[in-house]
Amino acid sequence: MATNNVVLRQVIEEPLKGSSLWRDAARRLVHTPSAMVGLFLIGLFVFVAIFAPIIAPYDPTAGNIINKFQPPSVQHLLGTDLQGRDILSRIIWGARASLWVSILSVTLGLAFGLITGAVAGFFGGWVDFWIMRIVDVMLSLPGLLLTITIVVFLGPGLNTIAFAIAIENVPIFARILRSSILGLKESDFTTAARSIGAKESRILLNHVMPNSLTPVIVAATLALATAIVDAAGLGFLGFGPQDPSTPEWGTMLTDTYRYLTSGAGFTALFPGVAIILAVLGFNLLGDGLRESLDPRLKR
Amino acid sequence: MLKYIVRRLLLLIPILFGLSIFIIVLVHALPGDPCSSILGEHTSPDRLAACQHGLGLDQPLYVQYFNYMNGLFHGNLGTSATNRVPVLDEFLARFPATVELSLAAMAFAIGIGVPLGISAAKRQGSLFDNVATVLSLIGISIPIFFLGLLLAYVFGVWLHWLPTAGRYDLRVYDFSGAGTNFLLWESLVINRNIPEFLDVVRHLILPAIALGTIPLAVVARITRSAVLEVLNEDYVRTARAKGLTSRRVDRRHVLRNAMLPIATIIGLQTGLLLGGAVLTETIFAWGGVGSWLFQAAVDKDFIVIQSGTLILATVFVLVNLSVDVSYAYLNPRIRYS
Repeated sequence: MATNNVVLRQVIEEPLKGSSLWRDAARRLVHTPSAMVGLFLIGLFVFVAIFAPIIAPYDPTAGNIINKFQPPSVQHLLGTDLQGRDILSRIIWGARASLWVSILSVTLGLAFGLITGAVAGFFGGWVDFWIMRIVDVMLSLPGLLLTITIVVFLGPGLNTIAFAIAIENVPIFARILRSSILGLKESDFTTAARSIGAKESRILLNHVMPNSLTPVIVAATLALATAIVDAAGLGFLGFGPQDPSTPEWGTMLTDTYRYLTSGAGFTALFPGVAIILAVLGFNLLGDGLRESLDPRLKR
Repeated sequence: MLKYIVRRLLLLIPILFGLSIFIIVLVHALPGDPCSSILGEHTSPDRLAACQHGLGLDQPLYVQYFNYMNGLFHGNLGTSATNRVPVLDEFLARFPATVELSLAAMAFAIGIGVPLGISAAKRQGSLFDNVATVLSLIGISIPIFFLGLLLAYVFGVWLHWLPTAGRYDLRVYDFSGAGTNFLLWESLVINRNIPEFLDVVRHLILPAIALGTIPLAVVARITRSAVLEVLNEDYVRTARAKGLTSRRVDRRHVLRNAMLPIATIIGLQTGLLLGGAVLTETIFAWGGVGSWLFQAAVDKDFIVIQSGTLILATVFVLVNLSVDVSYAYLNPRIRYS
């Protein structure tokens, strides 16, 4: 009987020990190989962006036009561009622009989106109704076109690009947070918490918010990927940094496009490979997070 | 069914109303107007004021909005401030190019994506499945303009296999008098000119692959997960147990039931493509809706941006409506009333 009790206690207590939502999720994430590959790619991307001055073999803005469009060599691993600048160094420095735009746009989009979504979800009623109608309208706009329009009117540059992408993200985050709050407000564990006498504020902060944030985290990770692609697209269309010597991946590909038939070597396409790797990193991590943060998929 | 369609169409009205207010407030709240683009930076304040007066931009916003909506109700979508072409005419001239490109891209995406997703699901966990999963993730991660550039470089510059700009060979063929701008239709059915048709097809291939790759990856992923879900259903086991051939089980039981999410995603993606592919159209010099609205944004051409956006939102809603209607045929359990 006594041993039975011990066993029973073990069975009851074991899952309680250290099985918080986040720790569980982290454990599951580590065991997802694709997510780890994603995390590695993101780590590489952030590392390169931060330590660009140390890693880059050349000054990304210095070049001699005599050396233009050189093929890869020992001196220039990826060759040189239109103005004889080292492509590898420019790709390394370009990571900064992409990282900056993606973080700024998702942070801004999250801030406004979460406030709007939380207000709509918590208050409900006509507040919810009108906020969601505005969200519907914004989501029915053709995506990139809205971003382009905002950037055109505000003027080109990395910060306006980030702002425009953030506006595109606001309705997405707002809708996700709202729907998960609505679902959780009526869930069994909220009722359970309320029945043991927990205060409303405690229920919101400890029970509703952490659970409703998980889909937002996944969406934010995937939004970082989209932001990098969109920013590069806008750079490609000519809305990137207006100082042409500032390296930006999309803008670098514009030169490649212009001189595709007249001299640009295949290494001029490499900024595109950098974009793919960075975007792939966030997409892999986002997919992994989606699976590991969902407690229903517990293994 | 008819009642359902009518109700959905009525719901379109408030959305378009909201959209018209949103877009007109947005473009007027942001700095700049078409006059500064038309006249350039170095113009006199008098000429600027005259131009603004001519376009009615000096009136209060609500008056401008009222005039604009009044025009809409009389079937007048306005006239471009930069080239004085009516918005509707320009749209109708360019939309066929966008439709042709979108349909070709979706044909590519569905033709490869659906079989790929099915095969991956049936061999879940195999090498093939893993390779397909990785490829579709790369497909989602690749920037469309980079893929376009890559295709143009490999097939246009290196191999000289396919043309990389325009919709047909301007030096050989002339479509200027064509009734519609659907060049596949015009060349094959109206002109009955096979070499001309093949030329149009050749021009369509690279842009369609560039535009269709992201939908391809999305369709393959959704197909895989939809088929996986259905494969575990009891009725599939029953169908197998009663001795049906695996081909018949796949067609009648698995695919039929997995079709719903696949149709949804196909409709959504088609709607997105019809919204104009700014980047693809730019790279392949494709005169569709995307490059037109892009130019309008650059010129700050208010009327074109407003009306163009409203038309595209309408198209998007209509495509989604037709997808919803198709559900009733794909799944007899769904009945709209």
